[in-house]
Amino acid sequence: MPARYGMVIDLDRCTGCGNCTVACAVENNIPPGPPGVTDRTGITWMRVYEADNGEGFPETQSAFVPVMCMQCEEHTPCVSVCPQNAVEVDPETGIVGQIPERCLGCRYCMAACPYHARYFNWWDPKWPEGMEKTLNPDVSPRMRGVAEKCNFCHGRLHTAREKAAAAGNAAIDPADYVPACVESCPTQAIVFGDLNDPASEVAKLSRDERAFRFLSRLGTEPKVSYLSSRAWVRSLADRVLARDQKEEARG
Amino acid sequence: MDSQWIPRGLQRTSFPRFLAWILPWAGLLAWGLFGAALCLIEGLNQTNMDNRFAFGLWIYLDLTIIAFGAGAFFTGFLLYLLRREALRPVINSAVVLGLICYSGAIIVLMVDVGQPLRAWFTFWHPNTHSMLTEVTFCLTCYLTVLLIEYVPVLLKNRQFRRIPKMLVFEFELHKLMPILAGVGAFLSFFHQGSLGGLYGVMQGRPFAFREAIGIWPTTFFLFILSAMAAGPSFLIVTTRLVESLTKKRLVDDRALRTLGRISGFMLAGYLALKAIDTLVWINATSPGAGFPAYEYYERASFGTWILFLEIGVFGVLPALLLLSRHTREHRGWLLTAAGLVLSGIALNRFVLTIQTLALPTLTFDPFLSYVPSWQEVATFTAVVAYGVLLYSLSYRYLPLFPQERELAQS
Amino acid sequence: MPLTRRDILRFAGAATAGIVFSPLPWKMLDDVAIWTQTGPWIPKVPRGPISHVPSICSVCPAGCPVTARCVAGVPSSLRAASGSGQPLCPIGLTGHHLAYHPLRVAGPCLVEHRGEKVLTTSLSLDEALRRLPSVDGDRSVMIVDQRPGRAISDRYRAFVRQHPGSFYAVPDDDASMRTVGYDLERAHTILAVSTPLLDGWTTPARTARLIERRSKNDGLRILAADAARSRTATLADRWMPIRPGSEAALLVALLHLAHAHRQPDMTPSMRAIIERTTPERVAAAIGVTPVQLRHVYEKLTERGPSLVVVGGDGSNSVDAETDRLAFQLNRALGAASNGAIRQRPAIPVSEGLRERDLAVATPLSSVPDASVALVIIDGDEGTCHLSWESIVRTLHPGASIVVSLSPVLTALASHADLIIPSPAPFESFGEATGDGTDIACRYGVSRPLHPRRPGSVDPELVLGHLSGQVIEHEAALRDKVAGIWASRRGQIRTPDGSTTNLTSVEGAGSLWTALSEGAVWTLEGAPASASVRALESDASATDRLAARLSELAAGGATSTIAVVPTTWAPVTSCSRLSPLMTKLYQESGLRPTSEVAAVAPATAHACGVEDGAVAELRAGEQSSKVKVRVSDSLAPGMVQLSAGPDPVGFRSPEPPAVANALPRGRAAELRKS
Repeated sequence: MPARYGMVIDLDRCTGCGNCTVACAVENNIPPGPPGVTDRTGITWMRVYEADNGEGFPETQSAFVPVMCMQCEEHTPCVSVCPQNAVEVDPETGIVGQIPERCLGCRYCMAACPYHARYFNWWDPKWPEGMEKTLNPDVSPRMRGVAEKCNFCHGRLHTAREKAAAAGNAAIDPADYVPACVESCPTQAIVFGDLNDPASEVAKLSRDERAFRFLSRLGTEPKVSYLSSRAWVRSLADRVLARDQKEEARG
Repeated sequence: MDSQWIPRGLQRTSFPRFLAWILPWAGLLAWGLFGAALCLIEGLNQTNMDNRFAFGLWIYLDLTIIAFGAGAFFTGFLLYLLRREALRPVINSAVVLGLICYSGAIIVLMVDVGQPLRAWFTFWHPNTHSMLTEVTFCLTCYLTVLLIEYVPVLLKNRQFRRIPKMLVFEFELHKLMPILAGVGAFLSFFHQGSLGGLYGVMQGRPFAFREAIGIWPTTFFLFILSAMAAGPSFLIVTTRLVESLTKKRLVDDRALRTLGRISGFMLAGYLALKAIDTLVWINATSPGAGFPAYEYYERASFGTWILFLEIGVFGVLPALLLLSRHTREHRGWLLTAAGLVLSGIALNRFVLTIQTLALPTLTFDPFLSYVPSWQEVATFTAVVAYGVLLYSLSYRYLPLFPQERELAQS
Repeated sequence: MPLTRRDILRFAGAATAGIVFSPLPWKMLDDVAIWTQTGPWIPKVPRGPISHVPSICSVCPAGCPVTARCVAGVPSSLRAASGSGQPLCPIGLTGHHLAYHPLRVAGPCLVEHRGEKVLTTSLSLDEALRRLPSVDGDRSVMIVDQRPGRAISDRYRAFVRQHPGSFYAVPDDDASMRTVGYDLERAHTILAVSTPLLDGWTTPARTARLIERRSKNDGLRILAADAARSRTATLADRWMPIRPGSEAALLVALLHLAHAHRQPDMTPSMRAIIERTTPERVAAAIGVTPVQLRHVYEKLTERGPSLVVVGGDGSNSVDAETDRLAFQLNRALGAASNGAIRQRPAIPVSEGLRERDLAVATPLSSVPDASVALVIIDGDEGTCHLSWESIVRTLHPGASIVVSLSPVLTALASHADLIIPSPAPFESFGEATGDGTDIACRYGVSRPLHPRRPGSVDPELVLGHLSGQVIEHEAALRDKVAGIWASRRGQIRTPDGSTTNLTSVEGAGSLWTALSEGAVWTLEGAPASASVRALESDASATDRLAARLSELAAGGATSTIAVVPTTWAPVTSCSRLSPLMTKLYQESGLRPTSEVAAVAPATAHACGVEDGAVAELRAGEQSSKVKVRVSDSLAPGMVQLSAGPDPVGFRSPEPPAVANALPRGRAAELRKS
């Protein structure tokens, strides 16, 4: 059976430290932001948002929400819109892949993505002199004018497959394929694995009663779920829920 | 000076005066090309677009001018295929305007994409499910059709007519016109529709997403209808504008009234469908996707007024003005109504491109705003200047308005 | 046969049609495609054999174990050593970038200040050393060591001891409160008073353990008393908003509830202060109700061991008096007797040196004004932020020179007269001396991973020039390790998590080998007795405290806005961040840059400023341009600023923003600019 890689992120454990964002950038050769970069023009495949319950001081509560490509399974919004097949879903892994070499930079996929998980290279990538020696050899830097996004550390999947092939195995050892954000999370808030494997932790957690997915009513079947025991955090899933939660809170 | 080139029997202003008119536009064109060059050389960081506002001024204006340029295909369709001879006086002008609008849009698109050198990949690795593929194919084909349609107009120039072979060529081309009009109409129906489909298929953007009829979202059909309403109105407005600039009568009122009636008819149909579509969207599509529709209109500048303005002032009002014979036959009212139609279509395109992107999806997302950079404005100005220049040259050297001579004599 | 025009046209037409069937156009298309994919200006990734090198992170003193993934011998990523259970922080994850910091100093250079600009003129090492004045009876030297406990620290201390009138200066916190460690792992209730407890105050591993325990509901309760809704306040079980600058009052009120005034070793004046500070008297000044104060105290005594942590974010935002109060409160809560707070032992001195031949560390603030002619600022950064003002005041008004050994032109280095740059992290052997909040002291060595830049100079060489005794950097570290081995105390913990007693390590050589392969030596402290001298209040401190309490009770600061710095603790001391840190600051806004000033809607309205506007923030004589951010989650009457070196300054050596220099609670004015 083909794999369906997915993630579960425990929002009760996330401290918003930013390790995932930084480890992702190191792993995937995402360049530092040039002068004048903002949170609207930067590239953060894994971005941590701070969400709050909408109340004022002192009733405010907030939570950190790491958001990356949700690897939508159905009607994957970015796949169907791309005019030249630069976005593809790998049937073997369920991972939504981006082919930057084929992308013409029309940004239609970015407009179509409900999670704003796609980023555009507004600049050519630049590293301070000498720092390019520290780049990850498994991932090519992208040039300006193309879109990119999280691909569950494709370079690591590749390395795991090579290792399995060298050992004569058909399947990879799940321990060999761990995305950088999962590996770097100090509180182990992110669990990664094959959702098709009912014994995997990620499959179990995705069925947990604390589990929810963002914007699931759009019908795109994202493969990234979140966990929280706080009702208001779970109600962030979509606007209808958020409104109901607010009305309930006010009685 | 250039009198040898000016169509026989037509009055044109002196060359220096013409030059004085041309030069400022040429200046704007140069400035705009400089802005566009910056975007091409330095990259799209020269614009104020960003990851959320992946589309900006350019796409909005592209959508708008392509709707305005619909006059070319629709007039051709009515004249050559449905034999509405009343429209013959405006057909040449319609072709030139169509050419300007479409080529302008494509020029801007080439600056807008991040890797223009890869634009041909769409033909190489086409994704047949993408509305943008449909748009790209139809636009390129239709632009070719428009260029061919422009040739006979061009060949009407006095100097070309001296060459007998050109006359034969022109004659042969004229026989082709109904076929070209048919092909153009077919292509145009599709790309006007797929431009609307671009937004209607965005499942992840419930503000734009619409239910599908067959394989197309409703915006596909709404865009076709609205473009058919906008095209004739654009012809009315431009013709009147040229008339007032040249202080001449170029087209008799009958042609423009016919255009007005067609525009009003199309607009009425469009509004009726749009009203149904909006009600379905507000009550079913959007809330079903987890988005209460009223929230869209709670954001800073985008209140429900925008919806009422689009449907009421820019929709129902001009439709009534154009459908009533009394107001349609009044030149002032006709022009006003046509202007309102164009405003409504422009507003509709604005709502679909800019408002869609400004509205947040995730519950913790902020509402964002966007102001284009000077490079974006300049690039677009270049296209406007290019349009004015091409139209001015065509007007001066080609018999764009067949009725001009007889109207001048009467 | 004559060629006609028709023939030529025919030929051209046929050629055009035929070319389509040749490979030429397709090859050209392909080439265009390839060319658009990889422009020659796009950096190429390195190639070469891949190796995994175990080491520790020496960017800050905590020394977390890392595995460096190297390509052709150059690290391409640093990861937490698997099995160690000790994760890294974003600064550690990018520690291997620091050798390529855009502000890296290429070699010895003179620094000039022209207005806002900092200019450098390079010079040879000999010339640079010649510019150091000789140290004799008249001219004294101050060596500023921000990371005491290293091998070079011992050498500095020996040198200063031999030159009376000179100073071996360390940050105040390192001299006093950072000698006490907190056993967070055993505590059941922790009250964090204006402390970024869950935001880099301690190592990522210890923070993660707190989060882990809480998500398992093992009874751990974290209370945060903070003026602003800081990260810690957000993540805590309970946040008690207090008025800015009222930390001391809160602690005294809790001391009152703990009946601390009945303790026999309390000085009479202190006893009097505690006795009269009833919750009812100060609650309003703290901005809470007496019931809330009693409730917090109940929580602290409900389930022990309980800990109170204050400040300690390295930004000097909480003063020494407040630190002392926290120590006393911990003692009153039984933390000293149950081992929840402990005195951290000192790392043994290098072999060949004796403790009594080494100078005692002087807190930087205790170095007299205008007393030194030569200041040497060591290149390693520690855990406390030092302001330039705290150093410049010690300079002799006549001829004086400030020499920085920093490899990067940031923070203090940008003010120096001369820079003799040390190697960057991972360019030579580095040292970690332990996290300043831990109950154990540690010592670890990081291996050189990058090829070393030619212009960098070991600090031993600079010191050797002054003292006449040169020692190699690696030899100095080996001496230190030998000194540790000779102490026969503590344990070593290997990267895979296993521990061995030092007594079973065969010799100093084996210890060196283990440490250079990523092991860390640790030694736990004994319970902190009442005799932690540095934390004893003296009479003048008590007077200052009394004055502050009455000032606070009078409610002096109600008409203006109070400045509340919030910190991501590691960056308060670490001015060298990877350029990739734009991901957390500019590119995601996860961390506000220091130019962002957050205020409540009411405050913004009162000051006439709007969200996103640029405003002027004035506090005392200092003023700065800030970007206003209106936030619902703040109490009115305060402005929240991000303290610490500004990562905006990746490209500019300009010193950090005003927030760092402003004491907590200081009154400020915010106006439209």
